[in-house]
Amino acid sequence: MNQLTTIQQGWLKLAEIRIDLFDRLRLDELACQAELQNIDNVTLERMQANIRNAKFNLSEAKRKRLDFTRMIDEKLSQPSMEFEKRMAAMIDEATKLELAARLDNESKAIEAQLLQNEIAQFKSHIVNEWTRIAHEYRSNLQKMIDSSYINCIKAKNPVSQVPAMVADLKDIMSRFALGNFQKFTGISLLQDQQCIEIFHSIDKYEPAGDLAYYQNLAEERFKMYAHDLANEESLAKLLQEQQIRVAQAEQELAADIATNTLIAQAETLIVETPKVKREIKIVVIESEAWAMAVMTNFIKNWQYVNKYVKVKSWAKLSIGQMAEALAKHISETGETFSNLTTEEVCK
Amino acid sequence: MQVKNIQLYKGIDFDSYQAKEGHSYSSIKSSDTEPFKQTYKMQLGTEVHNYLLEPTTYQHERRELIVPIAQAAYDVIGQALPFLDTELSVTADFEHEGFTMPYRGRLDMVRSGKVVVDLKISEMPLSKSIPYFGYDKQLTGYCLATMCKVGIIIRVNPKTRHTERVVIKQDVAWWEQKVLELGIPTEFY
Repeated sequence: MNQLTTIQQGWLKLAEIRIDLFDRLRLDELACQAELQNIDNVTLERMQANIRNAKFNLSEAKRKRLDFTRMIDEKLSQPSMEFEKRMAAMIDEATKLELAARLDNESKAIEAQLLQNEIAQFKSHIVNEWTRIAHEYRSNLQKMIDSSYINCIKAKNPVSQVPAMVADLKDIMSRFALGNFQKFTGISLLQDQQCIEIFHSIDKYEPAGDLAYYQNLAEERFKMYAHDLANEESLAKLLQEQQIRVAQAEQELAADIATNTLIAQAETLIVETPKVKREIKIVVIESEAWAMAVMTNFIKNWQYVNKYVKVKSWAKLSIGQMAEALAKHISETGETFSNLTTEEVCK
Repeated sequence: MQVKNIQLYKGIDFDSYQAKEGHSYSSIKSSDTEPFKQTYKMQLGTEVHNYLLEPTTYQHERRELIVPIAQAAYDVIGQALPFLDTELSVTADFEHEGFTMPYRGRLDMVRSGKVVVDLKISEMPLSKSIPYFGYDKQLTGYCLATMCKVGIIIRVNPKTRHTERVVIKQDVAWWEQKVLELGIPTEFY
């Protein structure tokens, strides 16, 4: 068998030292018991002397125990904890790097989300503008038919002129220009090229189909011209119908714009944002004034902060706990206290 | 797939809707499982639906809970809500490759020919609930039956009131498959 090193021999002796210590502690305990035995049957002076001796036994036991445990602590507990400390420090360092990376990703994600929101708003604007222009165009054509028809009846134009009136009307309709496309004023992140690409990615309003439809409608409308001209009540009815059509067109435009906006919002790409937990902490200043400030604000805001206080014993409520409760209240409400400094801590 | 005989029913109650002939997404999905039982969370969703979309049916249950959730949903839909038909029921015939299947659906909100909007009250994010519950298929059915190009799901988290919305990717192939499975030859329909 190999020779044991000094340290190994020392550890082997530990058991012996422990047995010896416990023997000595037991002796101290017995001495203490002896001092306090029948203490209620002795004189006051004797009672006081015995308690003094018992306390001495107690302090001796504590001193012996500490001598032993200090050795364990210095030679075993502390050195073995060093491994954990080093690992904790490494993890702490890595955690800081991870948090920094997460914050970086978060800020990129926020930026990306803002861009996506802008794209969605821009798209929504384009769709809504084409919708508005189309509605206006159709509405103008409809108004043109209605007004021409009503004016012809009012002017009592002869039925023989109908073909010429329809031809003129169709000609005027074909000259109708589309309304102006309103510029989107909310661009701050998109580049010009991106804007052009988005603009062209959305179907433009092509009026040819509507023009043909309304020109046909004009012809259809004037088919009944002779009857309406002959009937005195027709004019009032026609005016009423025109008003209804205008109101319906406005309603339809509002509906289309609201629906388009809802769709555009739903189509907005949502960028995954890494979770960064933010907490407000009260900066600790080791001063009496700071402690007073914490206590004062804590008491003043007791009705709001008490829900954050979790203590097993009210006697042990500390100023640090009060500061924590105040910090939670600040996080929740955004309230500030002029005599306390706060900092945001990301986790 | 072709959709024929579309019938819209405005203002009919749930029992009358269920009495309509046709396969709904729910009926197809639950055909092999236990009878339908409404859970507490489903009840909460129904109450929010009623408050927001069918106010006359809302019985003022748990107002303090329902109103803030409905408010969150309204903040998202608000502008469009006046132009949407609410709690509309629809029946239609889905026809595919010589087979026809009767369909029925009950939509939260729709502007026929344009958009279907479905409101979900749930803590589960849509990225999980859509594949889990097949909401995309459910909304595809609604879209097909109302000739809508777009189906939107709006979710309100009942705890946080956080909202999210997505345009679903329509899954027509699933319905085509169901027509072949559950439909009958069109000439015998």
